[in-house]
Amino acid sequence: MDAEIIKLVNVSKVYVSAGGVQTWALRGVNLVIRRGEFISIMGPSGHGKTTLLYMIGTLEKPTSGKVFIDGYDTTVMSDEELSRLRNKKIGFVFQQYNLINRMTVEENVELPLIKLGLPRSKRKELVEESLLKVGCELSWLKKRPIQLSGGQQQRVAIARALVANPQIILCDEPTGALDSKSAEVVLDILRKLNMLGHTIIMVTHDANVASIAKKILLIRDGNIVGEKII
Amino acid sequence: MVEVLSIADIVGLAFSALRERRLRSILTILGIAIGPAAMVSIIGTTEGYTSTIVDQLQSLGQNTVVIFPAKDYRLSDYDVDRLKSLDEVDVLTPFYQSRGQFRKPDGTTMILTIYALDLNLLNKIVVGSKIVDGVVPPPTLYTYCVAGDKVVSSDNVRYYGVGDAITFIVPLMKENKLTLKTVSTRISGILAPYGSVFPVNPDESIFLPIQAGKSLLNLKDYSGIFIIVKSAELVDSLVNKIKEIYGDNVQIISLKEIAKTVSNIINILDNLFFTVSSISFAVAFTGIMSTMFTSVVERTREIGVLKALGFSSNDVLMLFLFESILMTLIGVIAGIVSGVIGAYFIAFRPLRLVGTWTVVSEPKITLWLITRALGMSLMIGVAGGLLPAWKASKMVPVEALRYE
Repeated sequence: MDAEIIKLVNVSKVYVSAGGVQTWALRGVNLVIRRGEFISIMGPSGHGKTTLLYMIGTLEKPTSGKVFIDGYDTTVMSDEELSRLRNKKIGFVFQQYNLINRMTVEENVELPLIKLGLPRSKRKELVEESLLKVGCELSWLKKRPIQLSGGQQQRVAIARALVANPQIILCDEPTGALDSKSAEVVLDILRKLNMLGHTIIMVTHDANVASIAKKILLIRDGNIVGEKII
Repeated sequence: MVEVLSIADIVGLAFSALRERRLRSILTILGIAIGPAAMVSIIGTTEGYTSTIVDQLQSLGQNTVVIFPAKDYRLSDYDVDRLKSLDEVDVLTPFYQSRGQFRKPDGTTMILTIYALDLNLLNKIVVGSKIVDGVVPPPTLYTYCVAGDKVVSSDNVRYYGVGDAITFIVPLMKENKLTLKTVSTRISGILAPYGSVFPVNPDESIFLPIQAGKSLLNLKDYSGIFIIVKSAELVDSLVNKIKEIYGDNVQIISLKEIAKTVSNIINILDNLFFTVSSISFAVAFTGIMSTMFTSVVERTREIGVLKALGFSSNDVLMLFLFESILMTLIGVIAGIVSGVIGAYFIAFRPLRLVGTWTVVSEPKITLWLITRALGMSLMIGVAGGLLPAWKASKMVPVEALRYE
């Protein structure tokens, strides 16, 4: 339960603009996250919290340092290997849901399973299971995302993040676009998922939202400057 | 183990993307269809005509040479003897030729061609011609003729039989004045339907013994000489000799030469049409590329999402590439089908070549033609889609996810 699942060693990220100006998004971050933790990352806009989240999600490569996910050094992995790692071990929940509007709810949630290469019947079973787990109705299956409310869309997005049963769920401002009632429903789902054993890392600038986590990391100027255990 | 997306899944995802931008996809598909449609219809029709024309010319006999007087030269028995003495010549016959107006019993009028020649050589000049009724009249019975199928019948109704008289009007020059003469002949033999060919159209002709040229048609000079050469290989040598003897005083028609020239011209046309239809492939290429580039830009965020969900750069490349391949496949199938329909539509009207020589031909849709159209289309589909697909695959996921 307390084995480390994510480990960042002296991770820095520098963006260089077209004009050659360097911007430090992360400066020598060291971080260990254990299996089953629920962590909120808080900090002002532009101070590196989303970069840190995407670094853990292997969508960003560090300029220097090492990122280990479940023991794998992601900085030396190929694009194909990283894709497989993301597909199996990491689920993403975005602020703007990022559902594909031309697809039905079922097709959206099914996407990670297509990459896993599961047969169609198995995929259908897992999609329904995942949707039910986060309180979605099966009558939504054939609906397009735009036919659903914001809160409902975010629940579908969580079902999509969950469907391949990843150990890690990364949430980027998951309640940022929701009203307080819907936000409460989403946070409740995340809490339950954590209780089921998923490691959850959530970026937010809202202290109330952050407080549902067991640990809050404060980030400023690309550094982790504080930690609060709740 | 590397998980590879199944073809069925890739096609499903590609279809869903094409369906979303239905109008744009349909327009691109139409653009793609034009190339193969043009190629199949034009080249299919041309090749159909080519093979019919060449077959007809070859059926006439590769060793037939016809000479006509040119300028003010008059062909006489002296020329006949001179040509007969040439080594290459097997047999020959001078001939008189005239045109006559003929009214059929059903009230229709037709223009027929009248030949007066050595009738014993008829089946050598019109190779494969057969008398279905009656006989070839002897040379002395110059008012008896062999009539073509369309002279004695129309729409499969036979109006005349052997022994019947047919009357027609021929033009006549008398003291530098054009007059008309009514000529009556009796049918001795009837030819089987032959089909329209060049330079003789037997179906719409009557053939008289050679003496009829002077006696019946009132012609003074020969209209030309039909020469049958000993073998097709000697045709060129004979043509050269005649050119040497007569210079510009005669016009020489060698069917072998015509077949060769027609073949050459049509080959050039074939290449020209191929080049022209290739231009529409180039247009389709730019169409596919611009559609796919627009699609990549519009779906930047989607690409970011796919990568976050575990799709690799190769998967994204395949998804976008299959979209262009799918559009191309639909376009090329639509193009080939409409090309085939178009080819039959074009070939529906007979092609009039020289005088009464018209060609009716089925288009020649060969496997090679279909393969060429399919191959070129797929090539432009892949080429047009490759760069946009590559651009999509190389998108940095974080930047793609932040794209507004």
